Amino acid sequence: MGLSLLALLGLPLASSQPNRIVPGEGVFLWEMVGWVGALGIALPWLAAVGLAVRPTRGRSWAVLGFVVLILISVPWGLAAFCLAYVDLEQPYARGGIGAGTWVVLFLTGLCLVELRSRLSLSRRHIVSILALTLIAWATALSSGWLEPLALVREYASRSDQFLAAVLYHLALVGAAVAISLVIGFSLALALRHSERLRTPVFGVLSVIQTIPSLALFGLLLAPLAWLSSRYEWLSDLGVQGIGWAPALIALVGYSLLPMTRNAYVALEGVPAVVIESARGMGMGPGHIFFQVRLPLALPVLLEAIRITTIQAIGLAAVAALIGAGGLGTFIFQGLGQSAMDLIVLGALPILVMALIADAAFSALASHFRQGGRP
Amino acid sequence: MIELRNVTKRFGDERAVNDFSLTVEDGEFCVLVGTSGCGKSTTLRMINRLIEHSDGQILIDRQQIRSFNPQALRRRIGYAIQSTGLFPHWSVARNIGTVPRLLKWDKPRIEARVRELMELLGLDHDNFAERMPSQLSGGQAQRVGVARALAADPDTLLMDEPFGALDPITRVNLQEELLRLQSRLKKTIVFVTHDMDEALKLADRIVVMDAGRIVQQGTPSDLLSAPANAFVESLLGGADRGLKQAGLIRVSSRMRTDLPAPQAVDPATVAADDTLRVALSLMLWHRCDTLTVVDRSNTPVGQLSLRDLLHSGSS
Repeated sequence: MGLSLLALLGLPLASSQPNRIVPGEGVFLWEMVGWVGALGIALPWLAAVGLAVRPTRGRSWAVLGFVVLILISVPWGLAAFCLAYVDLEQPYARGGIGAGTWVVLFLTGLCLVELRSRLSLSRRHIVSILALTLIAWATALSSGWLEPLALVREYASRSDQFLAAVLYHLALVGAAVAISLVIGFSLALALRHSERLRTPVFGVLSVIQTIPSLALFGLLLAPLAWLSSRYEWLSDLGVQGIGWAPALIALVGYSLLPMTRNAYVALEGVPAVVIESARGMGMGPGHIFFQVRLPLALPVLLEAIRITTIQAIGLAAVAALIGAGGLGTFIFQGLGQSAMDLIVLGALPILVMALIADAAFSALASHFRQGGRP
Repeated sequence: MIELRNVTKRFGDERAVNDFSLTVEDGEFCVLVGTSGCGKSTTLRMINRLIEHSDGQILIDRQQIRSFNPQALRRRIGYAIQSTGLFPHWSVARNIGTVPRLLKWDKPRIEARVRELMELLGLDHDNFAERMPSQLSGGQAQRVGVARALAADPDTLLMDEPFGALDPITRVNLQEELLRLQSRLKKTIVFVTHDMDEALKLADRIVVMDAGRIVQQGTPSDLLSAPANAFVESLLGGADRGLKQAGLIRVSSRMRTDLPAPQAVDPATVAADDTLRVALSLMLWHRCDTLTVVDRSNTPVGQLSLRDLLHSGSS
C-alpha cells in the first residue's frame, strides 16, 4: 500500500507521444492535477496505509473499499488524462499507460489478494469486485475518451484480427489440452498395469519437456514438411512444416509429461484401504474404477489439466513464430516494430486467459475435493 | 456356519497361514488374536476371497466359497475394517447403502434400511445422513462402518481390527454397543484384533494364533484358567490375569441371597450385573470385606463377601 503511494507520486503515470515510434514523454501526477490535487489524492491514500498497518476487521474493510475505488478510478483517470494531454488534432498522437499506473495496478492487486485472505472473502465477493472494475473499464472505453490511448489505438486498427487471434489461440490450447488429456490418461492407465513401462515412458516424456520450445518447433519443421509433400491427404488437411500442425504437436508433447504424471499419481494416490473396502463390499473392478478410484482422483486430475492449460496458453504464444497464428502474432509484430503497446495487446489477453483458466480449474477442483458429486 | 479345513496360504515360499482348521458355529462370536504378522488378517480375508487360499477348503453354510462368484460372496458377508475404509466422497447415507445398491434394491427400501441401521447404531438420521466421512469423529465413522457392514443383513460378519484406531473410551463404548447388537442380531462374527482385552470382552470363543497356526482356542475363561503355553500367558498379561478373569464373572453369580437384607444406607454397594473385578476394586476402596449387592433400581438383593468372591460354588 505504501509502495503504491510512492509509485503514484514518483513514477510517470502516463505518457503522451506524437506518434507510434517516438518514445513518449512521461507525465507525473502533480503535473496533471497540480500540487493541491496530488495532495488531495495522497492524503486519503496515506490514511488507508495507516489503517492497513494495524488491521482490525473494520479497518480492513475500509481499506478494501479504498482499493476498489482505486481500481474503478484508474480507467477514468486515464480517460481524463487523454482528454487533457493528447492532442486530438494529430491523428497519430496517442497516450500511453505509464509505469506508475502499472505498478499501482499491480500493487492494488497484491493488496486485494492479502485482503482476501485477511477478511476471508468469498468467491462471490471477489467476482463482484472484478465485475465492478470491468464495468468501470467498459464504460470508460465506450465513452470514447480512452480512444487516444495507444493500447486502444492498436486494438482499433486490428479489431478483426484480434478476435480471430483470441479464438485461434483458445482453439489451439483447447485442442492441445484435450489431446494430451486423452493420451496422458490412457498412458497413465497403461502404466498402472505395467511396472516395466514406467521408467522408459516417464524418461521419454521428461526428455521432450527439456527441449527448448523454439528448438522443438524447428525440429518438427523438416519431418512435417516431408510428410505433407509425401502424402497428399495430409497437406489437404493443412499439415505443413509451419502452421498449426507443428504447433499442436509441440504443445501436446509438452503437455504430456505433467498430464501423464499427474494422472498416474492421481489414480495411484487413492488410499489402498478405500479400494480394499470397496472390494470387500463386493464391488467389481468396473464399479471400483468409476465409482471410487476415478472420483477420488478427480481433484488431482483437474489440477493436472489446470497446470497443462496454463502452460499451453503461454507456449502457444511462441508458436506464432512458426506461423501458427494466435496472440503471439501481435507480440512478435510488436517486437519487430518496437511498439510496446502492440506487445501488451498480445500479452494482456494471454495473461487474462491464464488467470481465468487458473481460477476456473482451481474452483472446480476444490468443489470436488469438498465432496461434491460428479 | 464357517468352516476352514486344513487351510494353508503361501506367499512365495513363506506360509502365512499353515494347516489351519476352525469351525465357527452360527451366531458365534469368534475372535482371532495374535501379534502382527501371525496370519490372523490373512485368515479373515481368505473367508471373503480378498485373498485366495492355497490349499484346503473353506466352506460357508457347507458350500465351498470357491463355488461362488467372489463379488456375490462378498455381498452376502458383512465386512468392516479400520475407519479409513469409508468412501470419503460419499455421504454417510450413501456409504451405508453401498451393498444394497450393489444388490439392486429399490430406492425406498435402501432408504428405509439406512434409516433403520442409523437408528440401531445410535446415529441421528437427520443430523448425520448427509454428512461426509471427514466430518465425523473416529467413533462415529466406525459406527457408520459397522452399519455399512450390516446393511444387506448378512448372516456373517468379518471385522478386521475395526476399533484399532480409536481412543480407549470410544473403543470401550463401541465394544459394549457391539455386544448389545450381537445379543439381538445373533450374527456369525469373525473378529480380528491384537488386543487380548478386547478379545476377552467380546468373544464367545478366542482363537490365539502364532506364525500361521492355532496355538490355543477356547472360551475366555478357558484361556485364563489354563493358558496353553508361555506365549498365551504373555498375551493374557502375566500378573494381571487374575483381575482379567475376575472381569469376566458377574457379581450375581457369586452373591448370597440367603442372608437377611442389610441396612439400606451402606455406602459400599455393588450392582448385581457388575463384574467381580469391580467388586474387588470397591472392597479395596472402601476397606471392607463385604459389599451390599443392589439391582438396577438400587434395591438391595444380596451380599458379597471377600470369601464369596474368592471361592466359586456355594462355600
